[in-house]
Amino acid sequence: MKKVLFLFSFLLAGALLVNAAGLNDDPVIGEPAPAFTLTDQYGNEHSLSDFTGKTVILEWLNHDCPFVVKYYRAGEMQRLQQEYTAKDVIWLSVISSAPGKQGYLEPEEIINVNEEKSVHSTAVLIDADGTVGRAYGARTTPHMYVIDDGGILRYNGAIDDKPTANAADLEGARVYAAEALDAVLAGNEVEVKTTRPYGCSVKY
Amino acid sequence: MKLKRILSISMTMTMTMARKMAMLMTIALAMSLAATVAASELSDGLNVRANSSSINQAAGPGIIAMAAESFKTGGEEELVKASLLTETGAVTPGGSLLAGIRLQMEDGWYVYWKNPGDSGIPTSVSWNLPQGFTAGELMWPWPGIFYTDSFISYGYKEEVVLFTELMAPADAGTGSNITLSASVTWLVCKDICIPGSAELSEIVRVTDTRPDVISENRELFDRYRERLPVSIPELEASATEDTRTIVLNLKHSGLKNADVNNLVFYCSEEGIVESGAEQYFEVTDHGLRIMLQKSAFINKEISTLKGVLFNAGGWGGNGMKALSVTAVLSDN
Repeated sequence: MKKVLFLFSFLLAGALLVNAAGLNDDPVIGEPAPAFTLTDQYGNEHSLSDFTGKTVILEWLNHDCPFVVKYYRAGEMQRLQQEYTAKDVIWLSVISSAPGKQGYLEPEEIINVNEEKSVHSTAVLIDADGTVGRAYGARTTPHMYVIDDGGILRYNGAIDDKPTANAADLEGARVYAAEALDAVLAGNEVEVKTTRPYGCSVKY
Repeated sequence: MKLKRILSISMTMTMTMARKMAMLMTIALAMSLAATVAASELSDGLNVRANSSSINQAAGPGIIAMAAESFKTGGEEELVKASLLTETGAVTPGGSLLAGIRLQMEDGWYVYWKNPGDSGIPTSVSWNLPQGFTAGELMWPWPGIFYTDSFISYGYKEEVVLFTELMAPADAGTGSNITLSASVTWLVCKDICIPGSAELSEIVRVTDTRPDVISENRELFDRYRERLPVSIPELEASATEDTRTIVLNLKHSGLKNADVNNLVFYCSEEGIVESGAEQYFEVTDHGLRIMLQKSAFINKEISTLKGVLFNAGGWGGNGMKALSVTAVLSDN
């Protein structure tokens, strides 16, 4: 049993605190998703506005992150990419790793990895200076965003409800990102609009 | 290095706060004091912002290669050494013993607290005990704050001991040896993150007589037990919320003496309070008012706010730094 003795007597009635730079401007569900233009692995430019009229999913990607490996090694991310691009969804994987940091890939490395892993995304976008990642407040890999055909952000968060790097947890997981896509494609309200993303921090 | 850290804190403060000059100097001074305390007493200083250029240098190709190799081969025990220790070597029928999971991290690497912060995964311990034995809740020493790029992590560098009280059934047979087993999983990070796990076990004896403390574990247990948040029954806590903020009102006369510059509130649950946002502390007639920014990822009604109120300067003369806080939340 500890007895509390208060001996301090500072008189500062201000405030201090911890402040991390700039991820507080998270995009808002129900409002237009931040515009961007990025180059893919083939050197082609893609702007969000190019895809007006289509449902878009953004997937923050780092192939060396165990939480991403969980999805790609099992082929589950590729399966989702195949399923939804077949439904005319635009699947954009975004790499915001800075050059020299984990997950950064040169364009030709992306082409090789895509072949090796049978990736089915529409494009892999290179965001080496992190501008787009920061505009979206992308925290982790994976971190998923679903944008409807009018450019409105409809989901922001984790890929699923099992925050582990263990492939066994893919079984029975509630895949929020896929649920959001299904709802948007069906013209319905997304039930779970935001969840805390889990994974490795984005290597800006 | 220490000087650099202290300087970087003062600069961060200056830019962030944009307050009157006199105020700034007081704060900078207080922060320097806090940092000195942090450097000398706390294993990884609160309010100490790691120099980002040194982090980047540390993330050289060598480390990445080594870590990737560890991930492939499961050799992550190089980064985290896990062991299971007990305070006593025996337990009485109907009695309890304190078990500690000790994690020792390679230099610069950290594992996570129960709320990991902006990313990461909490360390987890699950017990496998003989019939009739039960385990209490995992007890977490207060964490450190680590900054990487724009992210905040709550966790432990160097070393931590996570405690659990294990209860023996009244009919446990005296004279027998029993095996206590724990599965521990963690995510260990330093620029990159690697999951790891360990299966640990320890044999203890069931005895009639009150067992002695294992002398070689005493110092370690005492050191980390001191870092467990303390519950004070007389501390009244309530909270209100609006769309963006949670205001926590704490009533206890002892709180009024706190130097607000030394305070941090760690929310125990992830995804409720924005880890990286500024927190505002104000001394009131009854104690303290704390303003917290809600997380962008809240997706449910919050009825209770639990957390740890940490005071780098200590809450009194006995070295206690962390208070356990539970507040019922009502709409503003």
